[in-house]
Amino acid sequence: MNNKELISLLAKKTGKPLLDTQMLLTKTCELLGKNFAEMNALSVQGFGSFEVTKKQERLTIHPTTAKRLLIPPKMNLGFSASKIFKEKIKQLSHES
Amino acid sequence: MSHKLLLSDITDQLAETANISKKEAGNFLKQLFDIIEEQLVIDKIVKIKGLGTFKLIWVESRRIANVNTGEIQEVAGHYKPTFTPDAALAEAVNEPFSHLDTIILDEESVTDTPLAPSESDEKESIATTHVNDEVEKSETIPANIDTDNDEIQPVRKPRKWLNALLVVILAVLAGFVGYQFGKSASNKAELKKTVTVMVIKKKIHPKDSLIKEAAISKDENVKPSTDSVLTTEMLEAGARLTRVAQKHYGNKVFWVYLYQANKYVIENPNKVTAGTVIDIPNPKIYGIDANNAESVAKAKTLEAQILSKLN
Repeated sequence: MNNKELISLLAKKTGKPLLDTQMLLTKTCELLGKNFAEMNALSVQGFGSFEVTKKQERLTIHPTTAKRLLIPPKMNLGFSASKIFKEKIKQLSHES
Repeated sequence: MSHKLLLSDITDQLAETANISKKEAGNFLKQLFDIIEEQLVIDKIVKIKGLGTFKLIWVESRRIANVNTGEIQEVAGHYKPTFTPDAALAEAVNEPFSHLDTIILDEESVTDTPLAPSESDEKESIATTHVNDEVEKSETIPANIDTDNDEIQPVRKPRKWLNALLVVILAVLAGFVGYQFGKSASNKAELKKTVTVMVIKKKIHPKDSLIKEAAISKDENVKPSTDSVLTTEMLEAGARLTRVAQKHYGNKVFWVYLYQANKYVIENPNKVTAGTVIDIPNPKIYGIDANNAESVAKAKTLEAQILSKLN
């Protein structure tokens, strides 16, 4: 599902015009981004939580060139699904 | 900083920025996450522009051993929800560290090979200063010996080492003669003479070697005549400023000063061109001291400044 499909589905469910929905969605994303940039964590009940974690700097050795590399620290936005959501998903059977 | 937010907080913020009622905002957000959840189950993937991608990943069934009992269990294949933030969002989140780049550590700086030359360099410098002090001494020592032995005085003019050799020979001779005459004398007297011979020998041997070293040291002392520049060095292919700094200053951190002093020839300190002739500034100008933690720390902050400028 891509952004367009999401917007149209949202518009249908909330009963708002497409343009308004699109505007709201981008605003929401901006808001979330702003909050995550401030290292805020967000938990959505029944869905999961978003949290920014710091990855420490580390030393690695390049497997082919055998050069020693120093990887700088990094802030990473992670998502962990809630238990309810995980259980729901586990019920799904694989089809391929 | 780092608050734990609930969906209600976002609802409030959204209502404020979008100028809609809280009820509408809350409904919108609830629907949004409901749809994500719903569509994930159907489609296995939901892409949201500006936020990221939610995806379900299939995990194959595998066997695991229970840590406590050692029992082997089968974990059935299942889906696992994942989220990858949008590139723009990931960048915004990583903003405090975005200026940092992966650093390729100089492999030679870790191994022992570059340390060996630097150590020998240090030794050389110590030896030369040491020698310079003793050369002066060595010029005064023969005078003392000459006054002790009257026989040696005519042999003053020839080279110093010849002089020294003669002193040894004469001393041994004197000892031998003394031994011959002292046959009847007591053992104590004999002992004294052999001791004096040994003392003279000791005095002369270091002097002999010192003079040779002095000749070498004089040649070396010609170069660092100017105060601001210690010496110059031509960079070979594959040369690094850090290695040059390690060689001359004993710590690779001090490459920053090499870069500062040679800014007009070095464009990028990370990639110096072979054949560039750089000046090695006198460590005193910048207060370079590998054994001084403060000096090293200062160089490190400077290094960070330079690197951030380049990036």
